[in-house]
Amino acid sequence: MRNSFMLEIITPEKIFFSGDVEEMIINASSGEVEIMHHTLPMVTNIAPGLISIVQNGRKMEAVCSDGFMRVGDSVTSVLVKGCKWPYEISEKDAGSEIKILNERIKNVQSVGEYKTLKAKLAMAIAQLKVLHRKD
Amino acid sequence: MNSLSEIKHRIKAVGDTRKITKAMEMVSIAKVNKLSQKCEQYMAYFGKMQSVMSDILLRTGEWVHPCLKDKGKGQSVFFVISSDNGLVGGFNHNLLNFALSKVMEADNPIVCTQGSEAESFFKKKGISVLKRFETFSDFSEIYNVDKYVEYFLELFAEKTVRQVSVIFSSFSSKTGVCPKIIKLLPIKAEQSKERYLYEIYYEPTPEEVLDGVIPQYLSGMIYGCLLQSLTSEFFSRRMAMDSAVKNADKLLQELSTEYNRARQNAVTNEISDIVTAVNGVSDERL
Repeated sequence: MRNSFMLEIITPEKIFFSGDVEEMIINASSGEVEIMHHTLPMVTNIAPGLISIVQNGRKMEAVCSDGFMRVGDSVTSVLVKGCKWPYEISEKDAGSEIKILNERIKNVQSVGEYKTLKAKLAMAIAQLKVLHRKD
Repeated sequence: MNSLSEIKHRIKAVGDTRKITKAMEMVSIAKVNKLSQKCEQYMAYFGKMQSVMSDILLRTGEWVHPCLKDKGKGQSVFFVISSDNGLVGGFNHNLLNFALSKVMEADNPIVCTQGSEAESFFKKKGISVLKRFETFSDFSEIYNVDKYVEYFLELFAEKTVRQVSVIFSSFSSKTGVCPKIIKLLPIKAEQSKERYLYEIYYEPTPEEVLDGVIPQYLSGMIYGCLLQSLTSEFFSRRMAMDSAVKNADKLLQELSTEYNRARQNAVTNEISDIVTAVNGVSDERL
């Protein structure tokens, strides 16, 4: 593949994805960013949301939590705290997590805890979003 | 020689203790297997994160974030990770003595702890503990570490604090358990040959990007240390329980020999009593 680049999506639990892709759209902190072959080397923060990857003309979607991304000359690395394929998501679990997190956000005691809970909530909402998009 | 019932009681007590230590050993084996696998998987994330971070720092140029600045003089914060429970052999002893030597070397040390063993150790030595964090278990996620990062960043933002270090037990399947110290703050870039090959672009601004990246880098570092420390703890407990089971087996063998000897002795005494009685009766008849 001539117009492809190496993409690595790594979480603390596993190497979620590693391979040559043609295109990736990710939710950066300043909005959606599309990465293609020979994109300018850059570093950006990632907000929880969807990642869509095009590999061999096939589009794949996943949900990721917050993290950061480094676009290098040859390799693009995405380091996130968690990432899931749609088939790994359970609508029931995501729904109950949203309820629990909404309750916990009401009783936060520090800014850091609030940010953590917000990030987890955004990830749970993104999970539901990708499930409904699939339907 | 002890009576039969006394020996029997001791055999039962040692047997019960053996059952407990064996169960603890089995649990520790399962936990070590699970955690060492988790550690290996985590190392991929950790290695990548370190290389990305040093790459970012090398290409950042003259611009300096407060977390990268060397303050020169000031207090040193030590975050000591120990276990919450005992029965771990020399795990806490080795780690805490290493931590004490590092703390004594520093000019104005501040100690923060994880685990009740470290807290009670420093209190006994007359060193006050500024903060004690909650228990970290093998079910804890990386999100649970965010509160540690928030606390240390706040502490480092104070003018008096010069550096923050973590003291923990590192685990490797080759070398086993050994105490280690890692400097968390200020963050220093590793030396690399390929310097400034290309400029790096920050989206939206370098300040905002590093404000987001640095806490994530620190949470990754602390999570790795906690994970390794937990693996070391279960590894040490497994070794301690293994030797306890062996000791119990040895003791049981000794006790059963003693019990058999005592039983045999009692039987012999009884036989000799019967023979004496029979002889006495036959003498009377004659």
